Amino acid sequence: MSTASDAEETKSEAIADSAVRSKKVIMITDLPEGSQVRLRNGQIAEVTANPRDGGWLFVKILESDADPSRVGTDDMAFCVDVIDVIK
Amino acid sequence: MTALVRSYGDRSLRSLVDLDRGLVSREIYVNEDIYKMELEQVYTRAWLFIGHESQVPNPGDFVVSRMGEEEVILVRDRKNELHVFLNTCRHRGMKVCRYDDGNTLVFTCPFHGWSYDTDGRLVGVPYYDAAYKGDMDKSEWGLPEVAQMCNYYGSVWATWDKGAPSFEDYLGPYADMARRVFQSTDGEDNGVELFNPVYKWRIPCNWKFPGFSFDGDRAHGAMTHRSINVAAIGPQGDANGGNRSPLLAPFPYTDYEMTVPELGHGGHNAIYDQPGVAPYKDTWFTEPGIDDYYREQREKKREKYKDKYIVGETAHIWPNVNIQPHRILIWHPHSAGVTESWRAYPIDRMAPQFVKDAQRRYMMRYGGPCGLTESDDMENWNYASAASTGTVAKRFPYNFMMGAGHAFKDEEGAPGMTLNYEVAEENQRSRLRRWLEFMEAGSWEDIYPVNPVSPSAGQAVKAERGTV
Ligand code: FES
Ligand SMILES: [Fe+2]
Repeated sequence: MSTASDAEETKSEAIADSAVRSKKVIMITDLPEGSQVRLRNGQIAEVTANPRDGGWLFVKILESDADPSRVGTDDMAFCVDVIDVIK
Repeated sequence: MTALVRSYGDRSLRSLVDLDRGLVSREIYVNEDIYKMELEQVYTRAWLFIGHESQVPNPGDFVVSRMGEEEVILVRDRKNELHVFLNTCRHRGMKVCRYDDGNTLVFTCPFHGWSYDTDGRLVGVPYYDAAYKGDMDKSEWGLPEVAQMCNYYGSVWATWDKGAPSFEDYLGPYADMARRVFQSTDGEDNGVELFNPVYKWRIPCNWKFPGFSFDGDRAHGAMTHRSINVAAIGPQGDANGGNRSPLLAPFPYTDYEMTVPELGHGGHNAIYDQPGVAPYKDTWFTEPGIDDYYREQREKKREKYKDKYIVGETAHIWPNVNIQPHRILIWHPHSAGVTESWRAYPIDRMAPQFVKDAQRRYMMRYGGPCGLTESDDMENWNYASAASTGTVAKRFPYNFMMGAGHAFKDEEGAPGMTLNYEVAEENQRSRLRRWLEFMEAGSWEDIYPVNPVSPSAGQAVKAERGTV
């Protein structure tokens, strides 16, 4: 029999899932500088610094088909937007 | 001047502090409403001690400190600039920093992930493009930064009030003494660093108990601290019956309670009969080599100051910090009946490690939560606080009469200061006087430039030194 708290838990897991929208959880905490990652918006970026807080990476955009003007710019990437580590 | 009168029962705030007669209601040390008012009137206005630049030597270094009840972060940004920020996320208020100190690229909030650069700018907002769709201007949502910050010879101070005078003006005649506190023992500016970490502990009394009496209550020493000499905790060991002070014996001087009643600062300070710095006297009998270091340092300092008259070297900087060459004492308000005590210990930055170690061990024996002097003090402050909360107890005011009306000036010996006999309650009356001004003021305009001490404030300056 499911309890109210089971239901709560299922609900919050669902919210977490939908927030991530990814089958794969990529742990970014230990990604070294120089790693290359694929972002949800299709960009490829290189890690320039890692604050190691598990939430963010400092990146430089290497490829950006949708908006080529972004290539070469510095940005920050949030953990759930990192969908793959390619190098 | 705004006369902001608030009532406690049928009594105004001013009626609780009668400096003419030296009578102070216990209410101001226990009343919750008065305490809450202090957080606003005193702690968002006054210059407060934050820390020391040596705690954050490299870009990205940070240390958490406090202003009143609230946590702040002292951080050195990537361009090497110091900042003091409130430790709270602009989104939903979570602490953005949960470590006492460290080094970081960004402060990332653990709640939803907003991320702030070390210069306070909001640089990362999850789902910024997809969810906010450009509707929020990140530049308006940085960490709250203090209105003014001052790096005073390495020590860092801040205020939330942009209307406050400069820190140097706030110090007034104590500016020179405060500068010397942060010199190394050879008299070099910016010569110290702080031992890490800072001691922190909570005691069950109102912040004004220690804050307003420390360096203003010499009368307690003979009774409260008598046991310390017997225990011989100083580096001199048993020599002179365990009493170190007479062994230090600088050249002739007279000790006074010294204060600037208009500003609230004050200490127990000496006026020397001759210019310069006295030769070093050995006292580290229990620790070989330490005297050699300090003696050499002293000679360099003597050379620098040979023609200058020196006045004092400790000061209570209003409202809640006492600065001394070997320790900094801060009493943060935590609630009406709880104080969070912090002790920071400066040491010559260039001192050899064995000197630093010896000094650290001495300070641990001497002060802090397990040091002997402060154990003595805490027992008094804590029990006096508790015994002042009763309904009947509160009918009886505290007595602050000692030396009232016997203050005097010595513009040659101690310019700008008001003096009293070395055992008096002059400094405590000064702090209470300034407290009342802050509590009644509508803004800094009401309290700076300072109001001259009224002759009826129990602090009338009787005469010049030498004529009393
Ligand atoms: S409270 Fe900080 S991101 Fe929400
Ligand atoms: Fe004491």
